[in-house]
Amino acid sequence: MLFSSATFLFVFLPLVLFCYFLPVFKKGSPESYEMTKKNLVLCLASLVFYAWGEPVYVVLMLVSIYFNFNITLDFQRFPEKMRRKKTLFIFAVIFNLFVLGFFKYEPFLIENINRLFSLHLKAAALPLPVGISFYTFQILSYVIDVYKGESEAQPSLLRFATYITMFPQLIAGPIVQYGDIEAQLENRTVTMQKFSRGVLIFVRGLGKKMIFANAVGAVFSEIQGSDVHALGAVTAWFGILCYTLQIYFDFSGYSDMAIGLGRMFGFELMQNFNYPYTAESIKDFWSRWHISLSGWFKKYVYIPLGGNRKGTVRTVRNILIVWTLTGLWHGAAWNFVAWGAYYGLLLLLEKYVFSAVLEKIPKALRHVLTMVIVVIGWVFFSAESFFSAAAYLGAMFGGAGFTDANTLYLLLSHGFPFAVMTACALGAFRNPPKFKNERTHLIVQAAGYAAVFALCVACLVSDSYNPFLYFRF
Amino acid sequence: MKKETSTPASPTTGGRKNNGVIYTCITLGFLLCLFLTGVVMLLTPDKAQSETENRVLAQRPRLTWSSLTDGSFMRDYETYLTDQFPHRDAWVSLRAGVSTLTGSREQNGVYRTKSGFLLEKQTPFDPSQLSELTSAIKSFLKKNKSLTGGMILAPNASLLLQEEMPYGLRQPDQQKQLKDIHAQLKGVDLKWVSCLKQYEGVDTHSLYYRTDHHWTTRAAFRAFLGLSKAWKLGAKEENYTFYPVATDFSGTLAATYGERRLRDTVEVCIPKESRGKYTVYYEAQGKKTATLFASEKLQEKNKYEVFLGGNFDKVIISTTANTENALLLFKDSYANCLIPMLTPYFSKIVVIDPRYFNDSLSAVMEETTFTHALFVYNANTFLEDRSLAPLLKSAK
Repeated sequence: MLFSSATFLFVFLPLVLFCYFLPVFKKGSPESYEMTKKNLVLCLASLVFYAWGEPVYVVLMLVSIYFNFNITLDFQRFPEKMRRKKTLFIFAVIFNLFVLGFFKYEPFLIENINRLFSLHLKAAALPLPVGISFYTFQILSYVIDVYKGESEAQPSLLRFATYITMFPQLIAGPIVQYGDIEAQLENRTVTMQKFSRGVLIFVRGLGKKMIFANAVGAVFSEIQGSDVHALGAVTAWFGILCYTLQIYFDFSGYSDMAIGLGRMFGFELMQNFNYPYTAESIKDFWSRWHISLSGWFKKYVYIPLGGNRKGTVRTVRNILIVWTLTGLWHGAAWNFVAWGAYYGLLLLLEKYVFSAVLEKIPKALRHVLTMVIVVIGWVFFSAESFFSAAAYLGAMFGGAGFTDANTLYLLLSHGFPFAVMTACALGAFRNPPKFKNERTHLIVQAAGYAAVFALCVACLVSDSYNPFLYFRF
Repeated sequence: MKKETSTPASPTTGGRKNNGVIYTCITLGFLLCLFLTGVVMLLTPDKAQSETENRVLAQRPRLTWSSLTDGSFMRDYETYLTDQFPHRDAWVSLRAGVSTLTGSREQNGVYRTKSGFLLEKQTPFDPSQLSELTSAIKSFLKKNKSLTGGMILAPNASLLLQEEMPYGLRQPDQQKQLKDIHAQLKGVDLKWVSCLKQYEGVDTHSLYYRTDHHWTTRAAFRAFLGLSKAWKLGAKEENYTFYPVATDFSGTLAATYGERRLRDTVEVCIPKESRGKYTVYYEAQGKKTATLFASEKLQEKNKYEVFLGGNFDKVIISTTANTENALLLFKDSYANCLIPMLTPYFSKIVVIDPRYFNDSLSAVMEETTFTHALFVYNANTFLEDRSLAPLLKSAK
């Protein structure tokens, strides 16, 4: 189920909130009773939420949860027998990576083996279970933390299942590390202030997705769908800039919705985006973009590999490994690998070659440079293959002239919303002028969000608006 | 509108209590929104179809084991909810209004000119397909030397309203397309009626509906006069009368654009001499009438269907006209409003819509001795047509 659907907004969410906040009427029941009921509602709701989109793969997720729950309890059962513990740990990690690998990378792997050895092996070609990359990483964070003794194994299957399935962040993150949420699984409170804040964050995310991302997304698909060999440079740049905005508002909107929903249920989830397009270096960009993923790779791959403590050669190797994996995490195709390696190389260049130069040039120039690199990165990310990315890049650098027949019309039609969104993405409204009276400020803010919500509903309804075109009869 | 502020603190004295009211309002407002919409959705009776969109709306899907496991139930349920959403049309207009405010000049591939005309975006065409079509027409006329050919290709409204189009929009040059088609059709007995020439001196705003992609009866009449001249039929303008039959026509383009206020007038054009003197036979449907107009369609959304009752594979019109002339007409929906004008000059008119016609053309031609063959199309439909060429090739 998507957050931006009528089923979620007007059927699922009100029902779940109702059940969640329905008090348990039983005198003398212990306080934890209430929390257990809340977790139970949340966990069951999350399973329905997941099954709504993946009616079959929900079983896979349940198996994965049950397996990992038990194996981590086993770690603890053998605290001294280090060897047994290690074997179990390695088995658990391999199991989780295998599940992810089988569903996500098997077709890609087979395809490349076939190409390499001219074989004709058949890939199973199963559809990718939604959110598997996200929840596998959450499970891994838990397994590793428990193995290292940084967290206690969760003794309650319900609480563990709630952590993994929690529907606000199940499908698109943020990737919550177990340690950050451990305490909240047992004890959390919802206040009016917290809930209302959650509502506003949720609506902001919904607006980012429905109003902003979908609008620029349509422009980009129109441009991407046209003949790339007749694409003027201006149009090509406009197109990829639209995609740049789309992916940011889409993804950060989804994260906002997750954080907002989390608050409504009493959770504090980590911020996943922090104005990434205001970054002044590649490193800065990645500390602001999909923060929970970069944090995960840093903690569970980069540092265990030795980080930057074992000499330059090892550091270079580690950075390249992490970034190739980051690319691969985003999708099983060479253009994603290229995209990841591109960032790895640029980070190395930034760190070892140009650091002195970069320090001297003005901030604004550094910002522009960073953005050019990011935008070119999105070309690889948005393309269907490595070759179509190359073709698009060709158009961006004038392969088919400066402008084309559509350039002016596109710019005139979409220029204004594009400018507004760019300003938002660059943080122009990060600190809006405040009314002197805090109360007035809050009221105006709430009214603004109400309008955003109304417009989101209009978008939701209109997207299904497809008059039957009896044109060609 | 979008900001990432931290949770507002309330340092001012007494502020906390006041703000508490606002927090409660936000919370309750949001919850009421969700719950009430949900309840209203549940209680409103489902509609079978949408008047504005002219289509059947999705109904509550049936829950079965297979629809559940393959996920089609969930997809259909979402379509059902949005299709049956309370005040759906108003939400769509809100969206269209906001998007117009932000400078977007098109909705779903339809744009609006300064004088309030709705026009569809033109798509480029495949030149090889066109040459296949023109050569099929030529060889058809060469094989049937006794036939006098005629062709009316109506340009789209956008060609006539070029100066009103949104600034910067460049469309394929339809005038050049028409010239190309004309040039390719030379060398056979085919009279080409230039609509642009026929339109000269007429107010361009009266030639097309503002809300629909069709030409008006006035425009069709201009084209008919051109044909009459080319074929020497001798039709006189004063022998035809126009009657308005509907003043509240809101066509397809209005529906696509989300425009709800514009209305057009539909007129019919009737030749004085053949009034009521023909029978119309819808062969496949087994229906016989004495009129070329389906007045019951005026009660429906698509009032253009008043002409001929819509599109049918084959319609046979027999008239009492005192002539040996018989006409074979290949057409799209543009011809529907023009057909009544032809009735005084042919004793029989067989109307073929190649998009629906699956029978043998040879059989049709053996049945009747035709003297004339006419093609009436909208230029855009003609360029995209894939049914006419195979049909003509199939004829002996």
